[in-house]
Amino acid sequence: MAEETWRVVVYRRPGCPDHRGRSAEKDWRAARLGPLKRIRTGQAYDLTGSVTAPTARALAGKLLVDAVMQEAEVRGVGAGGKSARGFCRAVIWPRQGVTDSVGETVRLGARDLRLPVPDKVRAGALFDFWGAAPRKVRRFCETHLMNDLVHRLELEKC
Amino acid sequence: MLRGPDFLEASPMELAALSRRRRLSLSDPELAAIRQHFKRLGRNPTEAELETLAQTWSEHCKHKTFRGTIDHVERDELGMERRRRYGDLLKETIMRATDEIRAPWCVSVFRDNAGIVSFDGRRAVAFKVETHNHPSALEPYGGAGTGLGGVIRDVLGAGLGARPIANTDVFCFAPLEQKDVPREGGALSARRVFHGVVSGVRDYGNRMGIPTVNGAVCFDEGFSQNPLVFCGTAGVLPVSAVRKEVRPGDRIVMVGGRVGRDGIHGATFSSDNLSHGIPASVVQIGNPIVQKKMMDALLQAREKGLYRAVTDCGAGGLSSAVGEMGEQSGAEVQLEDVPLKYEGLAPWEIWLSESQERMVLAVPPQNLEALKALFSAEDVLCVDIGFFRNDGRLRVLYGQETIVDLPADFLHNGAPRRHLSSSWSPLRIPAEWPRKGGRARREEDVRETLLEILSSPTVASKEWIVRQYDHEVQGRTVLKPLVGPAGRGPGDAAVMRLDWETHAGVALANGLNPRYSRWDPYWMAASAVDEAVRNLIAVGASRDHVALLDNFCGGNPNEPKVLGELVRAAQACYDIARAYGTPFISGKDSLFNRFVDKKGARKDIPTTLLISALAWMDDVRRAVTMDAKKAGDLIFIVGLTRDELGGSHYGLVKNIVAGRVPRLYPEETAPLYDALSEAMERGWVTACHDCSEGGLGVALAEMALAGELGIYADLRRAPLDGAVWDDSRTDKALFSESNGRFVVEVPPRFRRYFLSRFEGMPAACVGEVREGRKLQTVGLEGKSRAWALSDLAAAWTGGVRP
Repeated sequence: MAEETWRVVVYRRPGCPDHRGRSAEKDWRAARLGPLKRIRTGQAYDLTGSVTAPTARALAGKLLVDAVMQEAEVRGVGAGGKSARGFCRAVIWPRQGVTDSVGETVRLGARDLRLPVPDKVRAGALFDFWGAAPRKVRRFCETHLMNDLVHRLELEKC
Repeated sequence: MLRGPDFLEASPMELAALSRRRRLSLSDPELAAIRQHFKRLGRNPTEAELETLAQTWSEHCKHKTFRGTIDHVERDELGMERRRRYGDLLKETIMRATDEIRAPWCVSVFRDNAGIVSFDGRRAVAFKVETHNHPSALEPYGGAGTGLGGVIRDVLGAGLGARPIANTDVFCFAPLEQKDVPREGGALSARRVFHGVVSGVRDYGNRMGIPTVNGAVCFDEGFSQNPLVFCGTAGVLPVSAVRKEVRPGDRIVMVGGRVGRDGIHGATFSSDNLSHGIPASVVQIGNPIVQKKMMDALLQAREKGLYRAVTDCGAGGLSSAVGEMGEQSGAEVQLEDVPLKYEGLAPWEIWLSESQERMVLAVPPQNLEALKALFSAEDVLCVDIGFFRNDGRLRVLYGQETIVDLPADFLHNGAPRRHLSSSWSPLRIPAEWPRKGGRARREEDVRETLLEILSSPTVASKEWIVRQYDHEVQGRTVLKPLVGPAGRGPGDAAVMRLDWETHAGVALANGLNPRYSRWDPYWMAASAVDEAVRNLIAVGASRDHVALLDNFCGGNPNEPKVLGELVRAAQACYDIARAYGTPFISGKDSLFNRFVDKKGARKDIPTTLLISALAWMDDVRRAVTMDAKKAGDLIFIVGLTRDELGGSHYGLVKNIVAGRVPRLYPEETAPLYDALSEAMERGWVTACHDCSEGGLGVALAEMALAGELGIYADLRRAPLDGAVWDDSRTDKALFSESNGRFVVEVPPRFRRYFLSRFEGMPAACVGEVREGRKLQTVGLEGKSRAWALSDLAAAWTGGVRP
């Protein structure tokens, strides 16, 4: 089977409190970066290897998501997201070679649950920004959310 | 093969350039010694040999500054000069105190990965505190987490392995209100460092299932580019497991995680200033789950006697761990057998990598299979990578290629000793506290001042931080960091029980006050020792069984002034430890805490000493907390209040740089502590709180807040030095930070006994605990002041916000 990468994006269900999001909004305002409607936080997982869409969904449902508080989107990396929803998504990944203990734990968890084990899992922190200029989002991420030494930033308009 | 100039023929300048390029942090005499050695062999060193020597001779591993020869000059206020030569500062101060005290319960000191003491001859306690300052400045979450992970491994590698039962953490940060943007030189903002460090330690400690029971957080401008992160761990082991040995023929077994490029040059990085352009590879990111599994397997293997020696893989990675274990015998390692996280690592990188969560064992060949089976059952890597030789040579191979072939003697004893100069002279700070000056308006604002001090970040409640840490996992914690009916009071020390068969346990505390070092590092260090001991006394321990750990942090010791401060602090450690009869059992120094920005501007931290202390307690049920207990009980002040506002929090909030820094008079405080310990043992004391930052005012307020009861105190009855009385200044009585003082709650029926025990000593009943929820004091001028507990609480809980 060809090597594919599936991205699982996990975030809180509407109505569930998102303290990290509120805290990031506070920081945004303190940094006086201009208009911002809202920040939503979550996690992103890139599952690489002989993983199919159903496998990725199974991993998301059984391992990565707390079904009461969270929901997930699964899509192929590079396949593009759903239709434009008007927000800017920042995912902060550990750089190549930097220990990704969450990613390693996901692999072990998949094995322990007797699910197909991806060859590689990377875990990142996800921030969705509504009503903010992408240029400002990049600046905010670089100054407040990531450490360039160990993280890399992926920014996309959704 | 080493790239660059021919090592044997290169000029000193070329060698220095090579050292800089490879971040070896080797000095010119060290490079010359290496060249001399290889000239005798008639060959160039390999890349791996040079790297091995650099890390083994690093400040982190060899403590070159403290072990060097130091010509010290001191000038007093009158300009009188005093000279002294230290042949080995560590031996002549810290270790000398231990040698002279000769405490029979010191089982293993300054030898192993942690200091080990045994108070009952059956169980031993290992205790170690480490710093992880440079990594935490660069990547606070990973740096602080791996700092804790590393010290846990130190305790796991003490003797044949101690079971960690408690973590401690002490942090020094820049004030959080500094503008929340990255500052010069690419340093992270104070708030990001603060959040990263707090959460890094939380995630590592909590996931390892070890309670974090004691700590402190200090905020000072001096730490704005260099935070200090001290992580400590205490562990228990049977006395029979203290001794370890390596025998020729034993297999070298690496257990734990795989190896990547993490932390390469971490050890040599500690011998350098923090500057722009440090490579990402020095940063380590940990995985506590891997370490937890390794710890569980290791302790099972210890119980089964499957190995003869163990050490942790910390700074310098395998090169340090195997090098140290094979110091006497020699060792041979096959690097091809080391499991990697990913391909592409050069052999020297495998050898030097500081990938976390690894330990190295010396295993008798006949036990190898049983050990592998045990680790495999716990899903932990366990790999045989070589054997200990009997010819004193360290050989490292990658396949057929020999990449290191060094005599252990040269590796460990070949570094030339450093010769340094140090000097110290007092700053010209006015000794008299101003009647009016700065923002102080003498007596009129005593009421406001107490609220200001309570809300200053170092004094303010750290509940927001403390609550993130698990204090109770393992079920041994008798006194937690927050005490009182609502769990809000800042306990003076933690008390842990050792097992469930007896009521014996240990108390853990610390002392730290870097502000005093601007006045005089001698009294800064003396105060730190006293504060640590005092905190232990306050919970019911006695001075007879107290072990100390030192952690020195300073700027660049090549500057005579910086080194002079360290020398003075070390001398105080000797003097006070000797006077109190409290030996040092382990310690560490972290130097080069200097930030150099893009423009070349330099900034050193204030010289800082953390003293961590551990005391034996026969019966943990007698432990006393600091919260006021019962209305009608009497309030005593034990210890003399002097005119000592230099470096105080009063000065900090009023922006006054003046006054005398608190001194210590052990001939006065030692008998006082013994009397208090006896009173507590006899059950006469229901609450006790030490007076430190913020003085009596803060101590009284914290006791009232913790107990949710009122306190009335007439300061005119307190033991006060003549200088305080003569001035009749309530602010001095309330906010002086004199050492050796406690606020003690005593039920009225014990008043007579208590006073008789303190006859001839500075102790007096000044008031009582009351029902009303207010703190009321009567000042030296007879004026009564009251603070509602709600106002005190608002100030105290508002100082450190997420």
